[in-house]
Amino acid sequence: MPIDSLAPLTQLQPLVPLGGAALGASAPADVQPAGTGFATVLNGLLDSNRVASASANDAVRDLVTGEAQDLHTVSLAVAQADLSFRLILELRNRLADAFQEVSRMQV
Amino acid sequence: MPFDTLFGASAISGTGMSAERYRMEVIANNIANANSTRSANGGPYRRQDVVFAELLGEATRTTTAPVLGGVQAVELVEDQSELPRVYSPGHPDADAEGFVRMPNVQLPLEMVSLLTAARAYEANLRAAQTFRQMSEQALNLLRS
Repeated sequence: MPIDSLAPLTQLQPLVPLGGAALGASAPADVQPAGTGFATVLNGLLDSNRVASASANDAVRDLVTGEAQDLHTVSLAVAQADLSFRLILELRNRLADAFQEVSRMQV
Repeated sequence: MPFDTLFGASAISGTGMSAERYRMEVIANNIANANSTRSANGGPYRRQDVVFAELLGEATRTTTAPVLGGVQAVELVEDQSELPRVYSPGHPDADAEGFVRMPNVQLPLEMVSLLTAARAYEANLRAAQTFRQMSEQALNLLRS
């Protein structure tokens, strides 16, 4: 596995300080700092996705009820909701894959 | 909402498309009123033009890059050039000598403006599409 080639990418990952900061600040108090960190990130993304899909819903409803000013606003809102949902989906898939890898590990 | 900054480019393209759509409306209004001898301000219709201005976003983001907000149609100005006089004695709006003041709309110029607006709309559309493709390619990184 070419893991060494991935090493320079760690500087680019903004998710690393979440676990690291929680560990450094009050490590004994937080029992599962990494888990809560990832859950927070995922929940934040889910909230954003909810907002995006709600705005897409509003745009489509405006189009149907005739209140929409122009077509491209509707299309852009729907495209944004689609993109953000696919982002969440890919993240969830990666998480599920990682969990399955761990559960399949030989002990 | 954090996704606002994530999709900022498509929002900017959206403002560009809205502005071009408005310009299209103004041009269509000019063409439709090319022969109107009466308008809201009394005299014959005057050709209208739209003024665009850069739209600045709120400085809420904590980035070093300047905050971009797209474009906005801010003003509708009337063309104050001279109105052509056409001899038509039977017209109800003709003056004592039989001349009628017609709108200063020139159809060839309006057609060129129409093409410009359509092309500018297309350019904004292409920018939005390219941004979407970029995002999808970045999403493909997550697939192994």
